[in-house]
Formats: sequence, C-alpha cells, structure tokens
Amino acid sequence: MAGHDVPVDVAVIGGGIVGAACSYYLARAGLRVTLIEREFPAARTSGACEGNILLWDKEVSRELPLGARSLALWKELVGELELDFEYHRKGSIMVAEDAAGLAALRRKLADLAAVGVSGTFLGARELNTEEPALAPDLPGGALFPDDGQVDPRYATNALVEGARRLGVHVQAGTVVHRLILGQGRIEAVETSTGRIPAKAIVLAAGVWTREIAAAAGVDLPVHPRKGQIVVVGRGPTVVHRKLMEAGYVGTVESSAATLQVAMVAESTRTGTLLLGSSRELVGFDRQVSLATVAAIAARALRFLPGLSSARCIRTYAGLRPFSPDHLPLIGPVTAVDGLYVATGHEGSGISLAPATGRLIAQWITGQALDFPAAWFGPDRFQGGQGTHNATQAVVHGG
Amino acid sequence: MQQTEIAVVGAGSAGIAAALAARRAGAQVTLVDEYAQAGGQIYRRPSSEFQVLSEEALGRDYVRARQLARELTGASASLLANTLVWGVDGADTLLLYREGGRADALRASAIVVAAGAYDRPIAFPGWTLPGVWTAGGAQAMLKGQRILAGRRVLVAGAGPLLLPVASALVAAGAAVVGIVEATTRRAWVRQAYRMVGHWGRIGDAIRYEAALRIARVPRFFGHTVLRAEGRGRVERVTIAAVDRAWRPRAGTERTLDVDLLCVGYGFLSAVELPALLGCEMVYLPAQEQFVPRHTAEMASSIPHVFVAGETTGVGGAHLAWAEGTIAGVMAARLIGHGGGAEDARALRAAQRRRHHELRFARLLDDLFAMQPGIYDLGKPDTPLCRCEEVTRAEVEDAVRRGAASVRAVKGMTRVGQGPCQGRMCAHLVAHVVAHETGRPLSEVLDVTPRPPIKPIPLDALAQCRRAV
Repeated sequence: MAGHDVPVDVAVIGGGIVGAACSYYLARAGLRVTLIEREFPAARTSGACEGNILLWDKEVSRELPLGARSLALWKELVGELELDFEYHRKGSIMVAEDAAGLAALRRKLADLAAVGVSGTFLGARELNTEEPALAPDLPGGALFPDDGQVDPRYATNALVEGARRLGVHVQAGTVVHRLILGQGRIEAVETSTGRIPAKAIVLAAGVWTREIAAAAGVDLPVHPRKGQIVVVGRGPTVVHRKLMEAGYVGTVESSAATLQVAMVAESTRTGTLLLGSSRELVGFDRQVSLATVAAIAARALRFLPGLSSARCIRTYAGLRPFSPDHLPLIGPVTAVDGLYVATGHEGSGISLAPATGRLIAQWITGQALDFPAAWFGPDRFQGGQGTHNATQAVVHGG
Repeated sequence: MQQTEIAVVGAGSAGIAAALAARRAGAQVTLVDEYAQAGGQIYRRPSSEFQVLSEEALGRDYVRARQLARELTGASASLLANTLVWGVDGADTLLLYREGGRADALRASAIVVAAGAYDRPIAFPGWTLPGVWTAGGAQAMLKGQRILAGRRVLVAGAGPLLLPVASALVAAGAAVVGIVEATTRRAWVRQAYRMVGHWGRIGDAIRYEAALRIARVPRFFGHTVLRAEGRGRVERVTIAAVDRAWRPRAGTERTLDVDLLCVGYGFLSAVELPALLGCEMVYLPAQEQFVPRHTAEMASSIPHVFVAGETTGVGGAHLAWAEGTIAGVMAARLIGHGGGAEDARALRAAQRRRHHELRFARLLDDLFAMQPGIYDLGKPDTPLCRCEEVTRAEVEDAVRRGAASVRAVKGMTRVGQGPCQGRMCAHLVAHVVAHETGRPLSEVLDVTPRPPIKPIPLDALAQCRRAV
C-alpha cells in the first residue's frame, strides 16, 4: 500500500464510537491518522447499544464533567458532520418505583443541581402527564431535559465519514496482529494487510483492548460486561423521553458478576422501542440468554404495562468495556512511549466519545488538557509505574 | 415445560415423514407447527371451518393431505398446532409461543428441524403494490382459505411452482393472462434427458400443461416481469424478453392489464432455527444460500439435531419426504429405538428415494438457477427492505461509504431491522453489495439470526421467567 514506509502520526485501533471520535478529533488537530477496524464501524459494542447522551447517570466528580463537555461537543457535531445521526435532545426521566427510589431521586437532583445540571422533580401526576405510558402507580420521577439521544451506529459512521473527509485513512476489515515496539516506544502496528508504521497508537478497541495491550506487555484492566437489548416493533405505545428506573445507577456501580437488570426504554426515530438494561460478567459470551431477556421484558412491563401485547422483534447482546473504578481509561501508557488508551466507558461510550476523542487529541498534540491527567490516566491502575516489562515486547523493526 | 423424546419442528412433508418414521420405531414424538393443521405448503388443507363437499375437486394433494392427517392421528404423534418455535434455551429446549398468548417450552432428547422454505423475494419497481403476491402466497390463500387474490392474473417467475399455481387459479375461476417463465423452452429441452426416471413429475407437468392449454393461457418463455404499476394497487404489469443472463432485451416490452401479479422465483430455506441451535452452515452456490450442513443420515453438526426437507436446501416435496423418513429413523435410533430389520429396510428405501430425488433437485437447480439480471430490475427508488423502506439507492450509497456486507449496510441504514428481520431483504441487499464490491455473495451474506425467529408478544417473553 502506498505511504506505508512513512509513519502516520497516529494509528487508532478500533472503529467503535470511541475510536471514530478519536480519529475525528485527531484529524481536526491536523494529524495524519489511520483508523484500523477489524470488521466495519460499529460492528460490535457500538452497534449493540442504546444511544444515550445522559448526564444524570454519571459519577459526579469526574465522569460528569467529562459528560458535560461531551454533550456540548455532540451538539456541535450535529452541525459539523455531514451524515445525520438522529441527534434528539429528548430529555430523560429517572423513574422511581418506591419510596427508596424517590429518596434516591431527590438526592440525585440535589447533587446534580450543585454542579449545574438542571432537573425537575415530577410527582406522580406530573409523571403521568409527561409520560402517559408509564404505570399509574409510580410515585414520581426526575426529568432531565438536556439529555439526548443519537442512533449509535449512525453516529459512529458519521464520525468515521467526518474523519475520512479530514484525510483519515480508514482500514476496515483489518485485523491487528500485534503492536511493534522498539526501544520502549511505539514503532508500528502489524495487521492482516501489512505493517503500519506509526508514531503513536491509540488503543480504542473496547473489550479487546486488553488482549492487544497484553501482547505488548502492558496490563490494562478492561473487562467485558455483557448487556442485552429487547427490541419492540412499532405499535401504539409511545415513549417520549428516555426512561430509566432509579435503580439503574446501582447496577452500573455494582461489581456483582450476577445478572443486574434495570428498566431502560428508548424510542427510536422509526418508532421501535429499545428495552434494556442488563449487566453480567460472563466473559466474552455474546449469546442472547433467555433468562436475561425475559427479565428485561418483565421489568419493562412493570413500568410500561401497555406493552404486554407489543411484539418483540429482535434481541441482541453486546459487551461493555469496564474498568475497576468504572471510569474510562483515557490517556498515555507511560511505560511505552507513544501508546495511548481510550476505552473502558462501560455503558457511557456513546455519551462520552467526543470528549474522549478531544482529550486524546490534546494528549497527543501536547495541548492543554480539558481534565486533570490523573482523572482518567490508564496508569492509575499501575500505581503510577508501568508493570510492563519493556524488553519482552521489543520487536526490532524491518 | 413439556418433555418429549423427539421434537419435530414443522409438519410439512419432511416433518410428517419424520414423525411417522420415529413413531414406527417406537419413539415418543411431538410435532410442532405454526399453522392450525399439519401439512405445510404442499399438503395445506382448507381451514377446518370449511366443510369439504368434494375431495376430488380439491385435487390429489388434498386427498393425500387427508390421508396423512389420518396417519398422524393413527400413529399417536402428538401435534402442537398454532405453535411457533421462536427460540432455543440451550441445545435441547425449544421455546414455544402458543396462540392465545402462552409461552411454553419443549425439551427433547432429539430434534428434527423440518421448517421448510419460503418464497424468494425479488425486487422490481412496483413490487410493494397491493395485488403483487408471491406465487406461494396466492396458492396458500387459495388452498387454505379458498380465496382468489385476484380475477385477472399474471403468473411470473422461474421454476416448477408456476404451473400448479396457474392451474389452481384457472380451476378457481381466475383469468390467467399469461405465465411468464424466465427460462426458455430450449433450455427445458436440453435438460429433458435428465427427466428420465422421474415419471411422476412428467405426468404432473403434462396434466398442468394440458389444463393450461385448454384454458388457453398464453405462455411467455424467456421473459420476466419488469415492473408493476397502478394507483393504489397493481393495474398493469410490463414484461420483456430476456437474454441468458435474464437481462431485458430492448424493444420487447409488453404490458398486460391485471389485478393480481403472482411472482415465483423459487424459494429460500428457513434456516433460523438450525442456526440458533448452533448448527454449522454451508453455502450452496447453486441456490445462493446458506443451509445447515448435514450428512446423508440428515444429522447436523449438533449430535442430537437432525435436519430434513426444504430447510436443508430446496428440493421439493418428494425429497423432503425421503429426508424426513431418514431423519425420523436416525433420531429414533440415536435415543435407542428402532434398529430392527423393518427399520433398516425403511431407511434403505428412503435413502434410495433420496438419492433419486436429489438428482431431480439438481436438475431444477441447474435449469432454474437465478441469473444476475433478475437482481437488476430495481430502480434507485425501489425499496429493498420493505419493513423499513430502505431503497436500492440508499443501499448503494452505503456501499459507496464503505459497507461491504449486509451487516455493514445494516449499520448504515435500517435494512433487516424490521419485523421480518431480513427474511425479505437480506438476499436482495447482498446481491447489490456483491455486485457493487465484486465480493462473492457467500462473504457478503453475513447475517446471523437472533431470537425471536418471528415476533412474539413481550408478555410471552416475560412469562419465560417462570416457565423455564
């Protein structure tokens, strides 16, 4: 292939939403970028999820500021990107089922108000007015009007197309074999279509990041957390806002391996309804499991009883990349010069992708960072040192 | 949760044969079918609400269908009718949705999948107009509901189904204004020598031809449909002569007034259930589709799962019957039944029959293979995905933006995401992608089925928390 002797500035590995965003913002910063994707953009996790752009479910001290920045960037991207990705500032409602949920909801409203995120308390009647499809016995909810939604696959493809127009070379259908290091720094990526020399590499490969990094002697604690979705076909039940039950945040923060189900309902532009959510630690299994989809269906019916005869037309599963503190890894791996990581967004990848991409671009170009380095630095799990044995990973180029 | 020894999914030709064979061997059998009665397509009977006054008037298939229904009852094969198999739980439990809203499950020691096939969709301008039916659909409506889908009919396509469908329409009182067959008489004559030994088929063909000749139905060989037009429903169809690649020849267009267009370009196997069970698939180039890999004993790659009939590749009712018999015998043997001399004789006879019928199936494959021109009839604004109304132009645009497979196109449009989950459009989209990228169809057709195989109410899904 032409130009393969001259190293690109950055090789981004992974064509999901985060890799696409990194490519786009790196190109915006003027760098020469190659995006390497094993199948096609959003083939896996980014194509098996809902399109949340939420603030209220974010961890308050670090993730929320990242989320706020990202939300603002999403709004800009609507105008910047040529391809439509169905961005809709539809707002979200956190729905309580009982007194405990109501209390959690009020606390959440107060916490978020303190950091400038506006939300409105909805009593039972107001909840019913906002969202008539909800069961009438629910005690209340909180409305966050600034939350939004995109179609995650369209959004990934829009970012990829935007990147391409900025000169990014997109290599789909290309499998990464290993990273090539020389003298403790990045030299190239070995792929199924040949060697790609690069001055820097961004690992944005989601749940597959760990394997690629490990082969280069770098330990990145990113693991798969399975989620499943039940798709309901078009029907008379209308859901206006993004709905999530108050217990959702608990399932995100939990580290339990057993099945966690929390109601999530997202209507799409064509009128279908995506129902979730589930979390379980079962390795890389992407098979739809009956127990989980049945639990998702049952939970959805508790909140949206009018769906009982609505037709489920499809179910699917995806793997969220999660890290030990449930915060993403964004930044350099100090033990290997030129190696960066952008993954671990655990169910908030869509929301946080633009701010992640921008932060990575700031790291690589040496610009001022939007956020303190320590917040999302991959090294925080290493205790500040690399556990990487550099000599084992050295492959002398040629 | 129900238990059985052998679950047979699909009560058509193959399924009935499998059930009867397994019963003869002494196994407990539960037959499951979506429809109200056993019979599949070939042996579809009028709904039980009808009272049949003359069996002969309904034809030989009806008589045979009645006979088979009696045999099934006599053999004590349990039939779960109006029951959809929508998924699996592990490799031994079938998830059921029973009409009336009940979720259920059927655990079996062996499974025979005989889920049949469905009409191959072909896209052309106007194919979504009311009054444009598949040939199989029109036949099912006539057989099962005694409803004529139209009075002035054009039957178009390629393959042996056109004759029986046209004959049935004529017998029911429709005016069939033409049978449009993409292949040529010359091609039929060239392959005629391969009909030796298939005397029953020849007899059938002669009977249909005679009936159609008496009714003076015009025949257009070497022609295909180009477009259907009308306001709110089909009112006229334009056909044209085609070359060997089924591309229209300039200056040969002819337009006929109709209120019903029946289109029959062969079938596609229903392979979702074998795929969900984990069966390995194999590509059949002659039929341009993936089917479950199987041995001559009709065993799939999963030890206790057998496959038979059109599910394994399109081959007709007689082949399906032979394969069903083999599958039933082998499934019974797997779990310790049968194995006697009678059983061995039945198996050998079925295997001989299968061998014989496979030769005929291959003849049909060769004679009626789809040619590339048939996938080029659609205009840019012709929908390929009917559920989500995605046009050919949008699919081509996705390819231009880098999509190189059906799944990739799905990521950029909504093809295959509607209620039919790609049954209508996956092959159509695949052909466009293959054509635009030059990639082989087998690599482009990368869809993987997910449950439910057909839509089920959310309530039934939620019930599975208790049922399983």
